[in-house]
Amino acid sequence: MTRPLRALTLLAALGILSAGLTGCAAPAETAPPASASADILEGSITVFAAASLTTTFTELADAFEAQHSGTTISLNFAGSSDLVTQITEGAPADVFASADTKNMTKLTDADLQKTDPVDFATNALEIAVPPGNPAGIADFADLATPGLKLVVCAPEVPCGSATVAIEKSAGITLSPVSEESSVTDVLGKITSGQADAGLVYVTDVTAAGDAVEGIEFAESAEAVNTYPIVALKDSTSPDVAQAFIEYVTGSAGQRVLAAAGFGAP
Amino acid sequence: MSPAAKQYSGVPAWVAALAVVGATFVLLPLAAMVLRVNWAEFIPLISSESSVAALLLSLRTSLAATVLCVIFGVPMALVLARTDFWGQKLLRSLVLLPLVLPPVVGGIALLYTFGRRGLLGQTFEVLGIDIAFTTTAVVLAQTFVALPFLVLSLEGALRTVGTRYEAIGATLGAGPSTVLRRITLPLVVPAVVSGAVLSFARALGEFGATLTFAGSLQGSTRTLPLEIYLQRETDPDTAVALSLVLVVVAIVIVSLAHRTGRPSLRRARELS
Amino acid sequence: MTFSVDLHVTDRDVRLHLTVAAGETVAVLGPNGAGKSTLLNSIAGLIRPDSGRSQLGGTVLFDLPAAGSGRRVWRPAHRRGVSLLAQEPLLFPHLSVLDNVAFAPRSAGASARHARETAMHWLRQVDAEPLAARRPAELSGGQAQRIAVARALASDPGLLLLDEPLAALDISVAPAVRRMLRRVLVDRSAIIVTHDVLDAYTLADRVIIVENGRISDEGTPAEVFDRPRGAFAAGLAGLNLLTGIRRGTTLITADAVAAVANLPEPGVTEGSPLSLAVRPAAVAVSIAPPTDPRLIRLQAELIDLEPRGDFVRARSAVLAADVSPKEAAQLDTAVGSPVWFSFPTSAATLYPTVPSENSAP
Repeated sequence: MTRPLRALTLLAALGILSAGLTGCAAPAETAPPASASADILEGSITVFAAASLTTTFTELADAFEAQHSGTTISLNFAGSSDLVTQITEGAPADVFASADTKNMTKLTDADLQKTDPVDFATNALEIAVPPGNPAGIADFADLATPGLKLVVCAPEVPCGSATVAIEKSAGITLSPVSEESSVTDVLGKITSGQADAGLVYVTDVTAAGDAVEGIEFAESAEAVNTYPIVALKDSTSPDVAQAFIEYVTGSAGQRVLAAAGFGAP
Repeated sequence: MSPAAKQYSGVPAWVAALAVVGATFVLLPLAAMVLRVNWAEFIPLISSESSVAALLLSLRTSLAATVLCVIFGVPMALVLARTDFWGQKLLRSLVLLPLVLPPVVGGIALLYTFGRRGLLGQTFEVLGIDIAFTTTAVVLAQTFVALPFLVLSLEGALRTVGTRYEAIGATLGAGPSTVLRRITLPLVVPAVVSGAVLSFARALGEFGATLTFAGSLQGSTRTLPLEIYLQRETDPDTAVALSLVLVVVAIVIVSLAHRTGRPSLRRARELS
Repeated sequence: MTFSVDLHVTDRDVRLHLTVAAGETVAVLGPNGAGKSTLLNSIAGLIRPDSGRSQLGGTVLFDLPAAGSGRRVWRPAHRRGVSLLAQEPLLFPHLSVLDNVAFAPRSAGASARHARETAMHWLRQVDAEPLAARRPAELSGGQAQRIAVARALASDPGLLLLDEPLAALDISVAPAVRRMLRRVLVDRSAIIVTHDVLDAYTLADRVIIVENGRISDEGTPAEVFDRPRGAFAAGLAGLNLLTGIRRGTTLITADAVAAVANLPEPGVTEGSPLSLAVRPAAVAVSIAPPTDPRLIRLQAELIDLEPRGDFVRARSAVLAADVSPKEAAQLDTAVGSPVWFSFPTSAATLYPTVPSENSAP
């Protein structure tokens, strides 16, 4: 039911991205001779990727297809845990990109991987505040100010467990007014001005553009999320799957991920 | 009236077959869910602190929303069914809009009305009333989506009953309030009850508007549907168990509404 | 209490004036759509006429001057002291019989006990005391209508309106309810709308015929039905009505379709309008001219023969006759041809035609 809202922010994010895209896309097109094997690569793959990768992977898939005209990439975005469930239930996937190592472990425990997972990005938490920062938040400790309307992710979801980890290491107990089940819902409360501050990923702040302001804080280093990617055993086009993983972990892929706010692995 | 043992039935076999497919389509997912329930852990799953808190909050807020629906919905239905004014048709469509609106849109609309930066929210903030992230916000969201159910079912009943009894009451010397109290309302009590039950069910199932508008915090804003949605992330067993609880509650409510709905039909038939 | 009403509804072209003297019962008869229901509902306060005025005793029920001049008065239905009894009993289904009848006294502010005493009194008046504890759903049609009468009377109305109170009743129970109404309507101001001449004769002191939104005839039941002024009243009374101009011993009807020969000498001067009323049962039909010179006769085309139980109605455009099946069989070949209608002078009522003041065209 959160679809429409998610779609809205996504649209906004896409708009912002497409504006900055020309700068990224240009070098990719002027440097195709880098891979001579590109011409013989053929086939279709389905990539299951974490929802937080929606914009970056869409862009990467387009660029990859442009480079290898014989390939087609279908993308399926959802929460990492949903994706793992789908794959273990037999959904046809060639590549899986998870937002955390925990869900990747679920997949490797089921022995569905073709090769070992490779880390390709990291993501850290950042404080998100409405434009102008009306509550005057400066650091993590400010989030514990009494009366402050703080919105975080519920501990059950990855951004929430990261929040709990930071609270523990910093020795600060937060009393949020709401524990949302997704980053989108946290951002929604910030952009609408309902809440004074929220804790979300750096990439979410980047994607939200001018709607929120991001405030980095040192304690975020205590809970950095690592994004692993893996080719799956049942892949029908293992070559294309492997080439796509290499593209994501390669310089072009890393440039796009960095622009969206992801850290290097 | 019980039909004769062998009455002519005009349903062709292929229609019956399609009906069976349709019914299966509705029932199979429910059965599939029941099959997935972890029965060994069922009681502990649904009696965990967060589950109980969510269930109690849901019952409490839905009840409050239902009361609000009756207080405001009955007059709305009366005005729509019994008066005639310019723009009434348009008003009816607008009032019934939450029926067809995606709940999340309702949530956004409420946000811009009662939210901190909303139309009324700023006034409320000045008055020291804070609705954001409170149980009040949940009740508002639930009332918003549930109100049309009561208005719709009651307006229909009022139109079926007609105004003839009321007119007779007036010629017998009863003023408008007496007519309402002693004639109109008693005649539509079954519709009020079934409308209220439907509103309660809708409030209980409310998710989108609550998520958008009220937030999600155990004990104050995280209702059962929100709890299910959250548990789905990490603990599918709990999510399935709680879903089953919600399904059972819904079945009980639907059968209640069906039962109270029947006398109103019978009465309507008597009147016509 | 004297009652008067002037009523004007433009879009239905209704323009009526009538009065009801204290204790008088007036029957209003007329074809469907003539404006009878408009009349009752306006008096009861359920619909608002375009203009008009109505007063019951010293109370103005409504005063709606035409063209918006002057102050408009509209007394709400519940403060008029006018009670309406409809064709259907419309007993409140959720209340017992006793509480239905006690409804008006309760609404008037009487205590529950006093209201029930009043209700019991009126239940006795309509012979329905044993039904007090029942629910409306447990009553027969006749019983329900009795209760409805008691309920209307319990409001002690200054004017009682009855809208075809017997029309929905089974033919076997209507006479008993009619007798009961006759009893309770004595000395009570009432207007009864009906389609039944019997109701008018039994219940009414005065009869008003409404046609096309106008009063076309008015008088005692005997005046209106023995000497009808128009086709509607004649039809209700079961009479043939011929109207025309007197020429010697002949009556030339208005459309000159037929002439009646052998008129006796009534007090109508040559060339003046004359009405003739005769029961179809008194009219004989023959293919050959009647031999008895004393009979009133006219020749007209026999349109059809319509069986009506134990007799057959022979119809022409101007006159109908009730004949035996045997006579009808003999006439069968004459359908479509001119035949002779005849009747003795003793069976005919002859009277000067008095055009109604606001009679419809």
